[in-house]
Amino acid sequence: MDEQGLICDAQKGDLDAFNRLVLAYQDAVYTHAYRMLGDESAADDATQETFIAAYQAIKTFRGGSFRAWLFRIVTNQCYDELRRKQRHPTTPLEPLSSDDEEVESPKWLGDDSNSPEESFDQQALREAIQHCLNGLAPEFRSVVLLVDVQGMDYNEAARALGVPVGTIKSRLARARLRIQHCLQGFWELLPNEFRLVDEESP
Amino acid sequence: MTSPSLSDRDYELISAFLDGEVDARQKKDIEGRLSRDTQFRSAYEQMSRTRQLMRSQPLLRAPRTYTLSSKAVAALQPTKRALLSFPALLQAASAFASVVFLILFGLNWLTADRMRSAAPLASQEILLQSTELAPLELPSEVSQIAPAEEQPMAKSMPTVMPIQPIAPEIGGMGGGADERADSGVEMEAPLLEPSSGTELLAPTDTITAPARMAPLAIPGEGDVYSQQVPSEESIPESQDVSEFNETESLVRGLSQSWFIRQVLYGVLAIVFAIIAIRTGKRKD
Repeated sequence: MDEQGLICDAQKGDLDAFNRLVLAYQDAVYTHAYRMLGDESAADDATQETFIAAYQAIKTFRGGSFRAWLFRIVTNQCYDELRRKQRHPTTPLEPLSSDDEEVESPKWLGDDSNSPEESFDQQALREAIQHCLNGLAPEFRSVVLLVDVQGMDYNEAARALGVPVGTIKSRLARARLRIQHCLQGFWELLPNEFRLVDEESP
Repeated sequence: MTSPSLSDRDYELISAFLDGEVDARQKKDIEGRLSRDTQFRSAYEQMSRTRQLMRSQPLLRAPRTYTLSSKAVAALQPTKRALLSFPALLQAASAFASVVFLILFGLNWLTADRMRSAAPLASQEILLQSTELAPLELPSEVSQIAPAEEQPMAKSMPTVMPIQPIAPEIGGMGGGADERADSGVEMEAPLLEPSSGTELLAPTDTITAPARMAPLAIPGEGDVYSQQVPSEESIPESQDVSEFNETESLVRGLSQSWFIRQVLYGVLAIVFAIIAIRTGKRKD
């Protein structure tokens, strides 16, 4: 895919070219939104809003990393959503059983790539990581997600967040350290190669 | 676990070293510390595993496609008019009313101060003019009338009251009693004797301000004052006093209108702000 060509066409109003860019980035954008917000529905909305905003602003894109530009939009959408959540906190609704008790969604049933046991472990680990990410301030969360999950270098992350490279460096170190501390509580979920402490330790 | 001997800067260096974001000198320093400092090495290994764990997390699959249809794009156009929406207009109106309120409040505060300081001076000026324009044949002390607020008002104002131009013990503002004594002017008898049938309700030490006497000075009304004071002298005095009254009422009227406007704009600003906040909340 010639990304620059698609961007130029999209800037001229070619909707198909823009939609090809959407298809190329939607998984990454959705993952970032989900990791930032910790909620599928909110991540879905944020992703949709991101691509709408990107379409409306595509003419203002002046070159450089399109990914950084797009992730700046989605990160700002997530900050807005987090602020809104803070102002109007809500309780998520879980499905109810026949005796009116909440039933947790068995998400692992939807993934047929691994055995249920493996899927459960992976899901538990993913949730443990998400729990630790949720404990970070949004500014720290976004840095660790862009660098470690999206694989951006410091310059690209700095452009995506509109902060200096030095800020990325310090925030990333602190975020990694906090996640490291947080994951000590989930050591039994971690694969052997990732165990941060000896098994004798709690 | 963080090592107590390592600083935030050390962890920052380790993190940047793991991402290959250090310069050659820093790289050499870190490699040296890794070979000789066990705590530094342990911190490096733990952070390296955390980083690997985070990087091992796969990208999620989007639950649907987010491509835009031409219909959806067409529907996006009206959002440009959102600036002219009702809450936005209310917010602008609220901001405008607040600014006007603040300006008026400031102006009112400034002008009220000036008016307050100007009012006594104006009344003095008018009264002095009145004495210059309409000199009664009175001793010099009589024409030196104190400002209105310095003279005690009679608690019970008679509707029919004889003029008591000057009481011997008052003597005007400038200590006229002493001057009178020095000048030797005879002031034993009052200039205007009340007629025998007239009640003398006001005591001699409660001479009222000229402004309060003005209505009594209208010629041809047949009251005691008009009978006692020659009409050609009372006419210009009453005009000046009425001028003073007009000025006073103008000052009062101005300050009242300023106050009303101030309150109105304040109320307006608050109402607009409340509506804007409520509509904004509903929008959220």
